[in-house]
Order: sequence, then structure tokens, then C-alpha cells
Amino acid sequence: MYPSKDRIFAAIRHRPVNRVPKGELCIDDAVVKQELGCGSVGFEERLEFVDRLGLDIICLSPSYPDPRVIPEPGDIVWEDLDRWVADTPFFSFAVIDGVFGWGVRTLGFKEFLTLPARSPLSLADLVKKVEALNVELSGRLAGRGIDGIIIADDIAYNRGLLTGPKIMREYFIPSLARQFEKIAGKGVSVFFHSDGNYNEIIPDLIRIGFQGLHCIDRNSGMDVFKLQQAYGEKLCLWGTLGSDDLARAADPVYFNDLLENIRLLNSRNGFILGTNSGLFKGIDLGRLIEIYKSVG
Amino acid sequence: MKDDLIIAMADLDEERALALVKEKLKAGETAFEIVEQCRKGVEIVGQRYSEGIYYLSDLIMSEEIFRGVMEIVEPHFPQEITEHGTKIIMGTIEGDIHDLGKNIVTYLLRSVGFNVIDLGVDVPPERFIKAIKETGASILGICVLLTFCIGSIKKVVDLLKETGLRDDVVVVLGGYPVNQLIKEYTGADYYANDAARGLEIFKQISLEKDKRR
Ligand code: B12
Repeated sequence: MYPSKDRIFAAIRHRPVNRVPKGELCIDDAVVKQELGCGSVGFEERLEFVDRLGLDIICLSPSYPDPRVIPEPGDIVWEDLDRWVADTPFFSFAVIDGVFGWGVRTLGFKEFLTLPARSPLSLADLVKKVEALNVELSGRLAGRGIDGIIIADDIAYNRGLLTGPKIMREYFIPSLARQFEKIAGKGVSVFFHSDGNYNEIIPDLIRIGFQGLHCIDRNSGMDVFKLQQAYGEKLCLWGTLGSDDLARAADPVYFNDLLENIRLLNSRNGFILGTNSGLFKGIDLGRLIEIYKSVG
Repeated sequence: MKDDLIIAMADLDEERALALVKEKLKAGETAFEIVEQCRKGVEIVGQRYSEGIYYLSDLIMSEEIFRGVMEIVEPHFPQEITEHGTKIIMGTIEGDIHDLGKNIVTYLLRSVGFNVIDLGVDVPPERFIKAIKETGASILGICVLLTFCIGSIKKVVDLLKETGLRDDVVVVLGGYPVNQLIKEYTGADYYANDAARGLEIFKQISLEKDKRR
């Protein structure tokens, strides 16, 4: 009675669901090829793969003509977006990149991370450009019927924020707030993704209004239970499976504990299960499927 | 010795630090003295980072300033000096291209006088062995962030055994996933998930090696 889309809507609204909602942020072609034994990966193959895993979400990542150059909005493609939206029962998320992503790709890590100290004007300019691009893109995506948008930006690593909260609050948070306002105004759900430990700015993200967070990496000090306790009514938490969970779940005791913890998180509503890293070559897919099937 | 340069480094004041270095060279301070002051400044940066006052971007900024300083003072060093310190081979393991952490550790090691030979990223096990043979280095630092690349580290250690080098080389792992279990699985000697701890380990190893010699 709960089709995929409703299940995710329910999770976002913190209502009970009849099955643990599941979604993956990205799925590498190589993983699909290996699982299905197919030579190339198109819409049909992805559909079969997503079905096989029992996912409720389809997450569409953008392709850029040249990832090192900020493109014109019209040059960005989310493959098969219209088919996913019209012909499949999944909750559809489109990923858009944030300022860190663009900064790192266009300038390199060092140059981007030293920009606030060395060239604040160029940083302000970059922020403005990415913001304008994202607002334009989200308008187009909403017009095509997308259900949700994820602003994906790795602002942290396992020990904390890549750059201090002062700079975050001077440049990035205000821009995220403006983006959120315009995107949410189009009637879509808006999530934020970052790797690593970004505990320090979660209150800022809540104040902005984000409905959910992706990638709750326990190994980076993101304690999913504490987060649920502190912010569970305001945020839908998505992720939390790490590759070490997959390795350790070979042990039946760990496996059962894991399932129990997932069910507990789910019972408190506002939870979506998924890996933190997405599915990339080398991941233990067999074990992941086992977890997905067993947890219900 | 005035501590103006130490403070400029510690406060990440690039313009001032570089200007001071030039002034000090003109005033007759040696390249060694200048680098030593910078090192002290970097140490404070490291401390502030450990205490959560500084962030990763600040560490990177200090790396950048230090690089600028080295560019200015390098011509003032006697030729063979930069080749002098204890040799360390460093690299990110095969299949993995994460290098931010490795570069920071490399920079910190160089700033305290180690001679680090950085093999870059995606380094196949055989390359590590080749570099050890070619340079005679007896310390090997391996960086890994992707869990599924850990098998290749085990291969490095196995190759060290096969080639009879294992007893001469200390293997130190670093990066996001490393822990005691992974140290044991790969057969490495030490591990560190943060640069400060890593630096301590390398200093300790080097001290012990010197004692034995
Ligand atoms: C930045 C980043 C990237 C950048 C890397 C850029 C670069 N030039 O390094 C890019 C975007 C390219 C990238 C790519 C990928 N990434 Co990545 N990435 C990260 C991220 C956000 C931060 C890593 C980082 O730079 N940290 C900062 C440094 C300073 O910290 P550090 O590396 O830990 O280093 C410190 C210590 O460990 C130590 N240290 C480091 N090296 C050494 C060495 C020695 C000898 C010693 C003693 C100490 C030491 O000192 C350092 C300073 O304190 C992490 C998230 C996280 N939680 O860490 C994910 C993460 C590492 N990435 C991940 C993944 C999955 C990927 C991709 C596979 C993504 C994909 N789907 O394609 C690719 C893989 C590409 C490849 N083949 O390697 C996963 C790994 C999961 C796992 N356990 O296997 C993580 C954990 C993210 C997640 N959500 O799960 N990534």
C-alpha cells in the first residue's frame, strides 16, 4: 500500500512507513554491469538494478560537458530524467553540486581552500556563480517534475569541516540559504549531502530549512542515534551504512545487530537507509543486498 | 632571535611571513635559522589544528606559506643539505587517488628535516619496492582512504617479505580507514589517522634507527 514514492514522502514528513525506505546517492555503471552481467548500462539496466536492490529512490547525477568548467545551465544533462519521472514509481532526486565541488574541480583543492585567505573577492564571485547556476537548474528540474533536489557538497572530512565555521558562515551558509529558499519555493524537497563530520554546522542547515541530510558517516563522528535524538523531528537522516559495516556483517552477530539498529532508527521515523559512499567498484554488493532484503 | 616570523607563520600571515624571510636573509640570518623559525610556527599551526582552533584549510594555508618560504631560502642552502635527512618513501596505494592527507604529512615531515620521496597516488606495490631498492630508504609511509584498496597494502608487505627487505623497512599506514585491525591484517608496523600522531611515529622510528646505527 506504500509505493516507493509515498514511502519517501512519509520518511521526509516523519510519518511511519511499512518498510525501511532505501536509496543510493550514486550507482557506478561498473557495479550495474557486474551485477547484471551486461555490456553497457542504459535506462533499462539501471531500472532492473534499482528493482533488484529494492530501492525507493532514483538519484540522478548531472553530466557536464567539462567538469572543470562551470557550464551554462542548458548544457547539463541528467540522463533519462523524464523517463524516470514519468515511467517509474521511484522518488526522484536530482543532484546539484555546491560551491566546494565546483571550487575544487575548477581550481584544485589547495587553491580553493586557500581562496578565503588569499582572494576573498574571487571566492565571493565563485559563490555567486554557483548560486545562480543552481537556482536556474532547480527551476528547470522542478518544471520537469523532479520530487527532490540534493545540494551535494563535500564541506567536511572525517575530522571535521574542511574550512572553519567563520568562513562557512561568511560565504557558504548565506548562499545555501538563498538557494534553499528559491528551490523549496518550487515545491520540491531539498536535502543536503556532505561526506565527513559536519556536526558543527547542522544547526545552520536546520535553520536554513533543509529537510534531510545524506551520508551520516559514523566513522567520521556522525553518530546517527545522537543526531536522530537531537534533530530527528526536523531532519530526515539518510545513509549511515559504511563499507566497514559490509565487511563486518560477515559475522552473523554483527549482521543481526546492524539489522536491529536499522529497524530501531526506522521505527523513530524520518530515516532512509543507504550507503554513505554510494555504490562504486569494489563494494561488497552481495552483502549489501543481503542487508537490504533482510531488514525488510 | 626575534619571534616575529614564528608568529607570522603561526597566524598564517602569508604576506608578512614572506617579507620577513627576505628581510632576515638580507640581515644575514642563515637559511637554517629561518627554516627553524618557520618550523616552530608550523608546530603552533599543528597544535592549533589539534585543538580545533584551526581547520584543514588552515593547515593547507600553512603548507602553501611554507612552500613560498622554501622557494626563497632554497638557493641559500649548501647544495647537499636538502638531500640530507632520513629518507622516507611515501605514496597513496594502488587504486586510490586521495592525496590531501598524504601531502600534508609529507610537508610536515619535510618541514622537520626528513627527506621524503613522494611517489604520488595510485602507486602499485611493485613501485614501492622498486623505490626502496633504488633509494635505500628504510621507512615507508602508505596512505589509503578507500577500504577496498587495503588488500594492495598487504601485497606491499608481502613483497617486502619475498624480497628479503621486510626486516629493514618500517611500514607506517595512514588515512581515513586505518586502525589496529588493518595494521594487523596488512602486516604493517604502525598506523596513524592524523598528521600529528603520524609525525610523532616517524620521529620515533628515525630516532631508534639512529640509535641502532
Ligand atoms: C576529498 C575526498 C575525495 C576527493 C580526493 C581529492 C584528493 N586529491 O585527495 C575526490 C573527490 C577525488 C574523491 C574521490 C573518491 N572518493 Co573520496 N573522499 C574525500 C573526503 C571528503 C575527504 C578526504 C580528505 O582529503 N581528507 C582530508 C585529509 C587531510 O585527511 P586524511 O586523508 O584522513 O589524512 C589525515 C590522516 O589520515 C593522516 N594521513 C594521511 N595519509 C597518511 C599517510 C601516512 C603514512 C600517515 C602516517 C598519516 C597519514 O594525516 C592526514 C592529516 O591529519 C572523504 C570523506 C572522509 N570522511 O574522509 C571521502 C572518502 C574517503 N571518499 C570515498 C569514496 C568512496 C570516493 C570515491 C570512490 C567516490 C566515487 N564514488 O567515485 C572516489 C575514489 C577515487 C579514487 N580512486 O581514489 C569514501 C571512502 C569509503 C571507503 N571507506 O572506502 C569516503 C570516506 C567518503 C564516504 N562518504 O564514504 N574523494
